[in-house]
Amino acid sequence: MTQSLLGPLLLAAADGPTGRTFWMPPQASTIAAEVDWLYYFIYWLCLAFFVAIIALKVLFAVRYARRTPGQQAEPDAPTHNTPIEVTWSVIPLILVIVIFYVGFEGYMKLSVAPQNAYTIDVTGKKWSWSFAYPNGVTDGGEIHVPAGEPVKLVMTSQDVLHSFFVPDFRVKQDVLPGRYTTLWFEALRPPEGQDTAEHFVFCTEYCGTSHSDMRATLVVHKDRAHFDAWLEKKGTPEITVDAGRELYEKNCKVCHLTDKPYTGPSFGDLAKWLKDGAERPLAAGGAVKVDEEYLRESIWEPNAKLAQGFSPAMPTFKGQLKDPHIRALILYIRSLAQ
Amino acid sequence: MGDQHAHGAGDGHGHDPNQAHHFDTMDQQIEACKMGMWLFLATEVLLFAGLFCAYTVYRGNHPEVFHHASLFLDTKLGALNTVILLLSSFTAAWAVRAAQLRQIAKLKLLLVLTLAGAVGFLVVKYVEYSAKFEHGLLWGLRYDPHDDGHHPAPKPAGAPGLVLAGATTQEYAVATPWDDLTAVQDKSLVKPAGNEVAVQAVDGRVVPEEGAPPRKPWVGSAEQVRNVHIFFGIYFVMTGLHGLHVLIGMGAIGWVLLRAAKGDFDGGYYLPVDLVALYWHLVDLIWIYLFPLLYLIG
Amino acid sequence: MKDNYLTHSKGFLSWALTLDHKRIGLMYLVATLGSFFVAGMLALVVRTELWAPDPTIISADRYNQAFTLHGAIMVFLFIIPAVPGALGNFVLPIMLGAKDVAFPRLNLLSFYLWMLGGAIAVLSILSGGVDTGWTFYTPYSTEPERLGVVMMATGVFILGFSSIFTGLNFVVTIHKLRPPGMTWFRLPLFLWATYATALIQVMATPVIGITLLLLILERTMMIGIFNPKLGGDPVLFQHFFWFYSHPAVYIMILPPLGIISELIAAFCRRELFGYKFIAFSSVAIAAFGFLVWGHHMFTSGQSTLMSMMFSALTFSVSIPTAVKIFNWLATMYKGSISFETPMLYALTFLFTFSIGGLTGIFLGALSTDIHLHDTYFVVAHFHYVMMGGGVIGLLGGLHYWWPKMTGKMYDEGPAKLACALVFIGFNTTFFVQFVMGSQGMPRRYYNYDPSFQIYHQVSTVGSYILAAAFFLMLFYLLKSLATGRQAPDNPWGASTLEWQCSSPPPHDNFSTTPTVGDPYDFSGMTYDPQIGGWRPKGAPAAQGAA
Repeated sequence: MTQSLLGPLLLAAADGPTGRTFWMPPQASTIAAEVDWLYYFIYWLCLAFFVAIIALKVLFAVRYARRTPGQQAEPDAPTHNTPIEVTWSVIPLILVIVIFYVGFEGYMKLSVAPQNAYTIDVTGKKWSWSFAYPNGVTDGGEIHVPAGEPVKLVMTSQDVLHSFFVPDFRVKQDVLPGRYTTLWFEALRPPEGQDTAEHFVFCTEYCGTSHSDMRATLVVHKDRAHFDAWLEKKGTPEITVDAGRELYEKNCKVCHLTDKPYTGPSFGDLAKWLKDGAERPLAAGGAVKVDEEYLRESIWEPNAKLAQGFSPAMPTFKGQLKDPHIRALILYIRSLAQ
Repeated sequence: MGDQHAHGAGDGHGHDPNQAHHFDTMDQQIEACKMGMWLFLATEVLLFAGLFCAYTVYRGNHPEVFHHASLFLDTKLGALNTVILLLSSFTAAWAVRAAQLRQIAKLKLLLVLTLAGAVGFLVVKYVEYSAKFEHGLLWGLRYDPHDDGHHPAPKPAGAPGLVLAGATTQEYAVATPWDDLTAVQDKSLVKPAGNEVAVQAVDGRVVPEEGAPPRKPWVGSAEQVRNVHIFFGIYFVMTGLHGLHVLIGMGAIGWVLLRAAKGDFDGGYYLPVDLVALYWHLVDLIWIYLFPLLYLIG
Repeated sequence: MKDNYLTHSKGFLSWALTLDHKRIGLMYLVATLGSFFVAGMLALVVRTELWAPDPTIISADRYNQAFTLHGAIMVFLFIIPAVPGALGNFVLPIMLGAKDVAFPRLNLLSFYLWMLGGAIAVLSILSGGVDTGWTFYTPYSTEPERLGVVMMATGVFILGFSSIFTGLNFVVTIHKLRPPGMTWFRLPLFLWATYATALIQVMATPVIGITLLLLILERTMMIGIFNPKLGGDPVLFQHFFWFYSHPAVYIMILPPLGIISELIAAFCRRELFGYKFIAFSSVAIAAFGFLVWGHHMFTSGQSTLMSMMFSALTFSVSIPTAVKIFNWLATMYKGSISFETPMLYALTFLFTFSIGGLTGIFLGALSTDIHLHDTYFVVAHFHYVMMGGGVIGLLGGLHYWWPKMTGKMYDEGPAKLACALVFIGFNTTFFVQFVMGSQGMPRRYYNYDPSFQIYHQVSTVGSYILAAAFFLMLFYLLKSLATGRQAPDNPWGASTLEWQCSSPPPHDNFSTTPTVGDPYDFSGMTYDPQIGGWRPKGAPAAQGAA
């Protein structure tokens, strides 16, 4: 927010078509300008009505203030006036019909995805998003899309209701369990000189404890070639500590800290146990030795050997984190022991 | 409701002892009470309207479930209950007339008859419910259809061929011991429902083999008609809530009967009888809708 | 001092078992305002937590429980019952010229059902708390971990019956207990508004009753109706819920609209402009209110055809609401306006409710709603309508009828100061939420991106100002009970019937049947500086407070 708080009303539409304004986030999709047009149309209309209402209120309050306690209203004060009443009913009616129509048109555009749209499967679960691309790559935390072509998201939930919201794109759609909903957009190209641009993705349907952390980053690539290059690289992750750290931040960080236990055990502790080959008590009784195989099992089937003191809150990452990912993650965990 | 309000005991006017102090005349009070009762009945209708909406939505979404599951309701018992309730509604209306004419003995008899009708309805309902519980025809996760081991499972009326006639080469038919297989062209597609049932085909019908385990699935498994429990969920909520209203109605009728016995209606005041009868008619009316919607589908 | 309803009988039981609508109204007032303070405290906890992203004072789970309880108490225990239960119960029969409501026992039962339902709902904290939001959306609310949901839903179910019985009572009272001369078009507009509200209470509340019953059965017995894993439809719950809860919004706002009509007439000393329109618009809003529930669900996956119809119908409600505002303005024209505290609330109302109504247009339009749905824009809009409209209307009514209810005058100075603080605090708290909502800040967020922090901090500061205003109000109102000046029968020079009986009113309201004429005829009274109020022309000057 760059403007001063003093001039919001004047600066409302002042910042050009794609930048952040006092009221609205940047416009980063083809539909955004249209939605914003209606927003500002309603805005200025409301402002005009509001100013008129308040001006008349103040004017009447000053002009007709009671001077002496016994003063009566003026005897010719009108109690009805049909022409005026019809006018002030019909004018707002016409205005809201216009607003309805424009809103409806925009909504139809938002609802119907073009036939040729690039499709990404989106799965919501408490409290993360995962994204599956046509070539089989599955990823969490970040969704990548190419600019300049329609992208359609086919979404479903594994547990409760979620909602997929990209403020900069002006799109939002609830994500339901047991049903598919879709959402589409066409991202604008990132600003000149940038290969990618990042946007917030929020969950906007309340879904419990970490609802507010159920966020993702939407990365727009400047063109299809750049996007395809990313996708290919994504299919084959490097097995390095850095890659592991990246995976950790996207997938594990919401529940696992590095220094202290949170929803799940801390990765720092895991690193220590892994180094010492320590045994950990299980919730179901017995103990298990912390080794690489145990970590892999815990990622794929988190509840198979639930550690004592933790609730079975972790979803499975099977299918999402494959062998190279897990090896990178283990490298990262090992690096925490130093 | 039958709310009698503060009797004007202390205010010393010479009017009807049943008149509350804040009403000017007895007529005003009676009109107000009747209007209150009608509004209350409207809220009752709206309460059930929510369930009828749920019914409509799910029947629209799963017509096959409703068709299939309703076959397991006992139409004869349902019809019997309809007759019982209609008769008791008639005796309730007659009771109002008797109260109007100050025929107190007749009023008491008719109220007893109405009450008997209510009891009869609940007894029949109990028989129906027990059968559902015994056979696991219940809601949600408790839906677990089976033969109860003592009685042969009731055969769904008109069920033979229901599912099997639709069997194609893509999907195999799931057979239960009561299915008529004559409509199925390719008998090799027929497979028993559930793993523990051994069946054999005899004259185009599937019958259990000798020594088959006693507990047999017989309504069909998830592959056959899915989400049958939805129907039973709605069935139990609707009939259960209606049954609750029958119980409340019995309480109200009993209360009026007591007041009649105490002589409260000897003086020609009969508003409570009127209001309770109205309520009882509503309970009857709701059943009149429930019966065809639940029992007579398809 | 003359015998009045407060002194008519004594002892705890004379209150606990009272059938007097005025005492029941007073008990409702204390109880609902108590709920308001509890829920207000929870709001402060929520706002304080949001001072910074990341944990500030409480954990995420506690935060979720706090905003759920805030919403549930405010909606079900405060704003739905407050105006009908407290002010409606006290004022309606007197305004109408009746001795009581039609069913006094049922009225008392309503109050006890409120107490019972409220206790069960609040005690759900003890059974594990409720963190579903006040909307109880399935399947989240039916998960096995949601321990408090059954109790909360049971409590709200019982509160629903309380609301139904109050509405039923009012409808019958207005139909059947009007004294001779009180024709439909002589009803004060507060009664028209209460009548329309009562119709909604009777017609809509049973549906939330059955919805909650299904929710309870779903949660306890897994009947599967709303559970997608069992073939159920979670969106059906939303339809059911909003079929009640949208009309319920009009239960919350129509009575305050009626209060504002009374205030503007009384303090402008003239008949309302377009009386019949205002009267009919209340009923029209009530009727249309049943047809717009789907506008809460534009992003839920309902069909585009349904969204289109609901959007169009939503705009149809905006017209009668807008015209009401124009009518109030026109009433000020050529009036004789005085600015006692109740009128200041009416003027504040015109400001805040206008914003609340106008911002509804953004949400009724389909394409902008997609962006704004479930963001702070909705939170701000809702609070501008419910608090800027509902609560400020209620406060106006409370200050207007306080002398009648208690027989005491409060100090105008602190009252005006509190009104100013409410205005400043309210707008500081909620206006900035329009901005952050438009920027994309989702509602019900415990943690947020630091770019939103400045908005949250402004909002939190505003909420503290608001809290200060309410404590000031509590202070001077309680003080007036102890040391306030004896209230005259008609301190404001208002014309409706309740100002013809003494302050506080006698047990039976009227010793003689009142004469009913034009509800807004101000010509028959004169200001008497000796009593600090108004008396009928020709009445002896010594009458009134002694």
